[in-house]
Amino acid sequence: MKIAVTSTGASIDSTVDERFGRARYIVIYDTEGKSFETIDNETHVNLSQGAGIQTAGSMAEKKVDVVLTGRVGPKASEALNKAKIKYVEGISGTCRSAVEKYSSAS
Amino acid sequence: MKQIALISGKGGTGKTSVTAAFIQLAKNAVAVDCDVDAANLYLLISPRNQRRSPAAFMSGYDAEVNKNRCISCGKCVPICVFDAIARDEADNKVKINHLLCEGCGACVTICRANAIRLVNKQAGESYISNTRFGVMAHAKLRAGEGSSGKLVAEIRKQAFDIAQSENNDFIILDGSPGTGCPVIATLTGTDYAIVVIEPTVSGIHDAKRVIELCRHFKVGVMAIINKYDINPAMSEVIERFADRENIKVIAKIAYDKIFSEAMKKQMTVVEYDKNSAAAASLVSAWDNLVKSIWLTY
Amino acid sequence: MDNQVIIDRPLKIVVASGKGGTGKTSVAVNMALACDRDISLLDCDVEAPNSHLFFQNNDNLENNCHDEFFDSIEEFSVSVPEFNDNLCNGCGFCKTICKFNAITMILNKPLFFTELCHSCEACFKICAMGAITPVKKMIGKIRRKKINDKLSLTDGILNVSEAKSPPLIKKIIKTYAGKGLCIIDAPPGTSCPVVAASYSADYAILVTEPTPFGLSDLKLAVDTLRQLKIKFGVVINKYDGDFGKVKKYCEDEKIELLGIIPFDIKIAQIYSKGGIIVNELPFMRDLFSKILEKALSEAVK
Repeated sequence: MKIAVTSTGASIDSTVDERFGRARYIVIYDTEGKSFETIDNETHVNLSQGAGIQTAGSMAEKKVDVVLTGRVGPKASEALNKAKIKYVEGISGTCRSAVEKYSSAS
Repeated sequence: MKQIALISGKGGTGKTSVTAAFIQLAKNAVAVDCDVDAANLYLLISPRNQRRSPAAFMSGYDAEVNKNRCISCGKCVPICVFDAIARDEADNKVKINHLLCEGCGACVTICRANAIRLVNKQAGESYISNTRFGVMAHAKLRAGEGSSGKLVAEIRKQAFDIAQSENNDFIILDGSPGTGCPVIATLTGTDYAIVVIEPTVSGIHDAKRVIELCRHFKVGVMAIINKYDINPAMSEVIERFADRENIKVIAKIAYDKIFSEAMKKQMTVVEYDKNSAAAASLVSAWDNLVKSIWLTY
Repeated sequence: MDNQVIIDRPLKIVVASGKGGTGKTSVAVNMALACDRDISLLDCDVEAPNSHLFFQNNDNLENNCHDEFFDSIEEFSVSVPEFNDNLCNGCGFCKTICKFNAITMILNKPLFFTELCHSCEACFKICAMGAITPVKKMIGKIRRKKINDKLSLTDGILNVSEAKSPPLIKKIIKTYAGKGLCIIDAPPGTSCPVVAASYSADYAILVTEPTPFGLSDLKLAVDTLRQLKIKFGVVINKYDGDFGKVKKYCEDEKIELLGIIPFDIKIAQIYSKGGIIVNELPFMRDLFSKILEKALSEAVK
């Protein structure tokens, strides 16, 4: 399973970015390989509009299963649903603790 | 914390004068001027020192022609649905009207000579300032720009962050006329809209449209009838309409030159003469508003 | 009428203001009625169109729909893309080309958000698979009424909750400006709807009021018109004996003062019930017709 967390920094120990579409980085943790990769989301941060749906598009491209973040807007939510990607809102703290909590709960 | 927006549909009904008085009466509000293309609130509550330096508001793109590369084929002219490209009579090459260009890039794609590119565009500036009543978020859109809704959303977000961290009770938003993109951005996520209506056929016509807009976005509506004595019969029509629509009329304010006198002195009406009838109407409007909000809790 | 400026070509005069509620519509409507000319009046304040209110019977204010006043009504639509997933090969070029980020690729198929679309039509034109076709999205109506032998009114009304008015404004002007004199009632402000109403005009009449708000917004409107390279003059409305700084500003900037309309509670009352100033106060007729003639003489220079 691939768990994506919106992040303020490039490492898995960075704090969760509460924004989805305009998150600075996205950390993706692969539970099978126990490895993580970081996506620099800078191109979407500064979009004049549509940041949420474009970030959702990147998640689909990376074949992510679930997104952990602060808040997902209505359009991004529609795009994630279309891509059959689950998302959990209201996440804070570090990306590592978010991933650990989510994997132990599921 | 509650967000309250003053809107009207029709311009010039007295939104900004009411907004300024409410900001004063609220005592603990963050002010936001959402009329980013013709801002006036600053003239009444005088933002002085800036809390942060002005931030450039970047939005979208502008097309730019490299005339050395342009081969005058003219293919880009009809492809532009915004009428932004024309032949330059001086050299028969093409030129872009930046006020009409929306930065879609159709011309870039069609240009075989690679003579057109898109550049990032600065569409305005946003400010966070201190006033004698507290913090104010405001902005200036560049003339002719199209991204007013996004700029409104941006300054509202900044105001929201400040109000949260400094425990403000209210965010008071001065809206723009009309029903289009800046008004939609002003209403999105707002708790209450106060529609300032003047008793004229135009005032009623336009107020009904913004009320419909508020219903669409599920924003609570209250009303103020301004200059009600210009046409008392029409004011009664507004009251009956409001009653039917379950809209509370929180004040009926008489026409009074004090509004323009206070404006000339850069003061709110309540500051200018707190014993005036107009000031009394505004104070009771604010009290009614606060009571209604508490009741609906 | 004496001294009428001769118009031998299509001429568009836009009435604009910056600040709302300064009297654009009053000036446009009363000018159109005060002079003895064939005029096409275009109400381009499509978010709050009010010109028709001064011609129709307003006895029934409970009436919300004014469509029956007009002779003809047409729906106005913009084009938005529709995607045929069977033809789409998933190349994603449409996503790349859409600068409004209205298209994203999900599982190799485009997903489109109409609220973000600016109807630029670029995606229809580039899809090599022919998988994108234009479909119509109705955003408002264009309504027409012949007022009398000389005057016809066309207005646009944008659907409530629709954000973007410029395509509707441009369509009205392109289709109905006519071959003679056309007066455009513009929306307030200085952003894209005002540009859409003004950019093709030959001359602009800026209506202001002698208050700090009026002056502040007049300066913004002047800035916009100068960028558009449109000639303009100013009308000061609601003059109550004090010009504030407005008149001096016009003098300093060498802006033509086209006329001064006094503040009069009678005018405000006539306006409030949807009355026409030049009919109810015939002595005002001369003032409005002079404003127009002065604007026309500047426009044809």
